[in-house]
Amino acid sequence: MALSMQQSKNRIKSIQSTKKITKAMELVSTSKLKRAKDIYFKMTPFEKELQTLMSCVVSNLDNKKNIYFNKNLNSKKKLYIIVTSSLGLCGGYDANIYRFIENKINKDNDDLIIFGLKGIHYFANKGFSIIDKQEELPQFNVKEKITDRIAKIVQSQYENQIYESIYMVYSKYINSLTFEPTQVTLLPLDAKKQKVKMSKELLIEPSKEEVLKELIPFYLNMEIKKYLFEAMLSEQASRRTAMENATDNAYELENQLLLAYNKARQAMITQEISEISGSADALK
Amino acid sequence: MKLKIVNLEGLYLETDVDAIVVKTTNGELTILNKHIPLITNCTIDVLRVIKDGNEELYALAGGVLFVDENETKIITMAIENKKEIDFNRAENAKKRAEDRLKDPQSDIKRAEIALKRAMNRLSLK
Repeated sequence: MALSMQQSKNRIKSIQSTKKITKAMELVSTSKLKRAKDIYFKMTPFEKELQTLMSCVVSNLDNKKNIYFNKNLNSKKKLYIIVTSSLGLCGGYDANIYRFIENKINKDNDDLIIFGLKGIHYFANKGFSIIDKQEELPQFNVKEKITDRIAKIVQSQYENQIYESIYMVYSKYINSLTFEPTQVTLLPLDAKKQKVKMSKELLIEPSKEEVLKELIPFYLNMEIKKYLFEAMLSEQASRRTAMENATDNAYELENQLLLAYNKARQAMITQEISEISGSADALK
Repeated sequence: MKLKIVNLEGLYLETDVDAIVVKTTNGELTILNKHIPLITNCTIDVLRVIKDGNEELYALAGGVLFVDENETKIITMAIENKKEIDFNRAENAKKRAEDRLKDPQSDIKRAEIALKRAMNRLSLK
């Protein structure tokens, strides 16, 4: 390290201010992460109940030739709903999603619906066809109506046989340090998976089809909402980790520079002393 | 009989009740203990929960009723009791919906549902 004293002093100063910022952002995202976690884990029982209910209706359904259970063969188009972030500085969160999905999408054929500003820019830039987008993500509000609109679009497009199948791509939250880009199928519903053993004969009123008709919009909305909130939870966790790493790196760099600064200072002092003593010798 | 109500924010209510009275698409229905397993759609209406002779009222904004063994579940987007309802907001929502119904260009179906919800809430006042 051949930095001069002045140079290392300046760099230490700038690193210190960067460190302050990343530290503050780490604290902010920690509290946001906690809120996102709260909401997500409160939501899951609802989703679970809905799942069981769905399975009960579906497993009692005699006619599985329904459009909802079979791939729509009239079309080859697929629709992907992709969740990205609206703000930056969250590490590899968005990049992982891009890497995961980009090769799976057929550019000329498939359509996208995108949540989050970053993804909108990225995919628009690459020339993908985006049929709908949502720039701002809901801020910790489960009652937010954003998913209502998307769910309606998804359902009507599917019913009009525009798409073969509809997928959702999001970051699955495993724990606060690990998230995995994941693809799930929203439609068609998987009738095989949903087998539930009912104790007695089940009465479904007015009819199974009617109940299912009521349930599907509800179910779609709920699924999209769940995945959206899970992705947002991953985003906060990712941002927290990224900021924590940045702060750690800043500490390390600061220490290194401080060492360089002290070395340079010591070298200067030593040189001065030797100069003084040298000249004192010469005067003798 | 156990009653469990879940809404978007998680478990809303879990208690032992004697009976519940709910409006379904086929008409009013009273669920007592040992009702046979049933799944049905609820309409936007008042839900009555009867417990130790007392009746409690809730504004239910539609949903699905699921009776299984000795547990009754209601899955809904929105449910409130009298204390939780924001009557001013409901009043405003009602006005908004009525205005929208007069405007031929608006989404009539949506406005009708909004009006129903608002009226349902106001009926508990």
